[in-house]
Amino acid sequence: MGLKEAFKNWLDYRGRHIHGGIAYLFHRLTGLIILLYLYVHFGALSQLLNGGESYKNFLATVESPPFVALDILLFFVIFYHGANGIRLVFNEFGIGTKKNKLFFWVMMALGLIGWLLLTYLVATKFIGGG
Amino acid sequence: MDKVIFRIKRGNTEKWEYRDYEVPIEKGTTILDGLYYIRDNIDHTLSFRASCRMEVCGSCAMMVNNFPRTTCSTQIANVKSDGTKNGLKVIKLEPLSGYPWIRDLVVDFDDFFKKHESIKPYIIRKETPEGQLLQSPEQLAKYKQLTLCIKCGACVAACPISNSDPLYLGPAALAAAYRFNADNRDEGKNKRLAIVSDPEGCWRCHFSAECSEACPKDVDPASAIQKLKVQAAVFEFKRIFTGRKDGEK
Amino acid sequence: MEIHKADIIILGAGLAGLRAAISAAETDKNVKIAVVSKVFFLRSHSTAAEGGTAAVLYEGDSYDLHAYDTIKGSDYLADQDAVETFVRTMPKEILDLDHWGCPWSRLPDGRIAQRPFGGHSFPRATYAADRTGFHALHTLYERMLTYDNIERFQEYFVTSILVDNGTFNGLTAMNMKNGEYVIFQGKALIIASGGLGRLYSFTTYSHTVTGDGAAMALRAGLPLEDMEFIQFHPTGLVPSGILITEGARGEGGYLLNKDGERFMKKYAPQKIELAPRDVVSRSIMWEIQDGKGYSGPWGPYVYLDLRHLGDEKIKERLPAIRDIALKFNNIDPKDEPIPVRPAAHYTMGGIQVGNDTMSPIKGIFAAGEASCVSIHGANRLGSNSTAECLVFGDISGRNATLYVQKVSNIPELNNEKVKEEENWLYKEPFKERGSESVASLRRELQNTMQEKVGIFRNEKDLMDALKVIKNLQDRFNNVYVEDKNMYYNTNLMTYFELRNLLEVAEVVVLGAIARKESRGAHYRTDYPKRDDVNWMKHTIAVKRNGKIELSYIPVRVTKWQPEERKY
Repeated sequence: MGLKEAFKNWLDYRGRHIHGGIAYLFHRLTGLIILLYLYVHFGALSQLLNGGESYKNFLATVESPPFVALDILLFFVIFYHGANGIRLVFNEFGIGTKKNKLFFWVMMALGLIGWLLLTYLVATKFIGGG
Repeated sequence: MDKVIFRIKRGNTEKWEYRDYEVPIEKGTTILDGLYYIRDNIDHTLSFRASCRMEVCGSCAMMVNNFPRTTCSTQIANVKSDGTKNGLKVIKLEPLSGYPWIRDLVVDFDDFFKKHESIKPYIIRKETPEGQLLQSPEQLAKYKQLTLCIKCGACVAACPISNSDPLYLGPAALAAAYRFNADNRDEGKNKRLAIVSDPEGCWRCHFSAECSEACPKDVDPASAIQKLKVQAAVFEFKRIFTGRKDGEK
Repeated sequence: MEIHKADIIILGAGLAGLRAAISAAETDKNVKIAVVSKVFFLRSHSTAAEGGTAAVLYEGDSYDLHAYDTIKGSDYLADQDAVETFVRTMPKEILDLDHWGCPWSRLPDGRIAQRPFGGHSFPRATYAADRTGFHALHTLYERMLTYDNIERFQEYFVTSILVDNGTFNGLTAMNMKNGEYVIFQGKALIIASGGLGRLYSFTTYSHTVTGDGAAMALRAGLPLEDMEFIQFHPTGLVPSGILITEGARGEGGYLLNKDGERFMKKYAPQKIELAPRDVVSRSIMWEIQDGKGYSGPWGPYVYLDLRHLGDEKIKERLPAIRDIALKFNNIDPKDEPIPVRPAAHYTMGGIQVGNDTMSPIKGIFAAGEASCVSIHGANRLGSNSTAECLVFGDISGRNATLYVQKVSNIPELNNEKVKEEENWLYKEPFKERGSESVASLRRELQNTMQEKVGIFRNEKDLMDALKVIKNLQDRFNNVYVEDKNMYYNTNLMTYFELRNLLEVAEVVVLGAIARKESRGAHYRTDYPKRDDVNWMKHTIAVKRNGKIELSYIPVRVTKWQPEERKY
């Protein structure tokens, strides 16, 4: 099987269940996004090397509404990956595998609540002023 | 009389196309009934596998609207439409995904059976007594569901990893490995774990659990593989200290 | 052309074939064994067997009792010395399967469980839920994997058995995957190719059971024994024909007619629903003839009622039946009764062999449903067939090994016959002619057999059937294979299968016409009584110069004299 065909099959979501192959696909994709963000994060932190004044200006940019909006999307990715990940940790120890659909949606609900809470906190902090 | 359209992928990797066939149906008609109707009355050149027609031999699995199912036990009324043509429901039939394609709806099963054989799917014992090997109903219940596997191959066709990694052992072989590990009459657990505890073995599974959705017999290979992982983890931990490749003391 | 050489070739990979392979490998680990089948081994029809495997295991049962039940069940046509060997070998087979991993159902103390079955006077049917054949087949397949001197040839369609100078010479076959011509050369052959139930339109058999082994044996000059005895299983699901196990009645299920009566009380006052299959099948048909059956879009039927067993017992002892009723008829057996009607189920007859499974041709053995030893005589008891396959599969494997140990070389091929067969296979089916199709001829054959050579037979119907079969054999020359693509050409395979069906159908009907009595599963309305004076003998059919000749051999009696058969 060539690399191109393998990649195409891996992405093929037709016929898959949301709590099954689709959840699996999103877990991989969100994992990649988080990995990429890690590099971005290091890049951001490395601005510290340029000194306190430069860093303060950098923070002013990344704490502006458009960037906060991006952050909120990032939280969505992280909450998905975390919530689904907790389910997978239990599953791979043999716990909860027989109730996969229920377990998935419960974790998604918890993840959604967590994300909405964090969004509220962040939005009020950065948009309300402070 | 009601009719549906079977849209069947015909040909092989060099030259193929979808062909539409009109099939009359009544209450309870299965997809396999439809396939026989087509071969007997419309197109004698259609090739497909089928034998028992009672979901016990495992011959007839194929992709029905992008999901692997055993056609003998799938009633046409229970399959959603994959589009319509002339007001009739269309059902798309393709060969099992991830298997080498021989022709029409027939795929190559050699690799599937080889992988099953590789995990030592038989009772391994040092000595066998003359009489019965006792097994309580509770002990039987531990692995009974896994003995129902008819080797239809639907699980492997549904698995996103089997479809993109030809070296992965696959849900059928791994579930079979656990079936024997969980049988109190067997003494070969470590030999089997030495084989499945491998990057292309149980560790390649990430619980997308499509295999258990596809399984017509409710074997639930996904759960079996996770239980196998627990056994394999303990086995690997012990192996750090014993250092042996085959897992024997 | 592929050429494969082995010491022992086993044709057919069901319970008998795989058991023979294991037995041969165990007897001598240097013997080379080739198992050949037209399907993947796990797809063999043995997998459909459900109810159980009879064996004497526990206190209260005895070999003589099992033998007596079998012989009485056979309507006194079984060869009693063979039955005595059979019942004594069975317990070992159950233990072997246990040691090899078969998930037998268990008693609370961990011992293997057994349940009541039709015609047995002691509950001796060892069972694995209601999927006994399936589990036994998988267990044998898995055990077979442990031997390195067994080579597997799956999806090879064998087309003829070569015989030279009265000795086995080889097999000709076609590799289904690519259409290549294949030769198997060996010192011995074990034919374990199963029955011929797809002669009928309403049957429990898989689509692949088309009497290939029996037809090839006939063409090779082997004698077929007792072919007129075809068993109709009382409870085939309507309309598919799917087997509903006798075990359902063994666990307490009732058969009900239109008035809700347990009508079996009339026909078998002692055993009621657990009378032997021929008795129950006839009873159901009589009820239907008397107008006491239900009628529906797929013909008449009676009900198998399991509701009183309760959901839990059904789920534990009859899970496959529940699954089948739900998936194929949308019925839950705990709420609704199941519609059933007798369906063609087993071939008591087959290739004539001795108790050692040797046929009259040197080097050819036969075991399982394809053979006739005879254990089942005119009617087989339930749970005795999976048992027969294990016992005689075991015996044939061992005897074939002992035979080949004394043969120094694999016989040279008769190259003329090999070329002849190749020319026929690759040219004849494709010659364009006529407009008849394999499917339409097969349908006509199946409907004729179902109507005229079924449970109730008479002279006129049988003669009509013979006429139709001869006519179909002629019209077969007008059929040709349209599909020219030799890769997995199922059109060609169905052509070969129809040729085989037409060949064996004639033997069945000729035997039925000749046998002017009723015995076991062969019931003639014009000769309704059993005639021990003239007809306590086996029918032997041989094909000579293109014609089928019938002769007779006596039944071998040891301890049990024929009595009136009442249940």
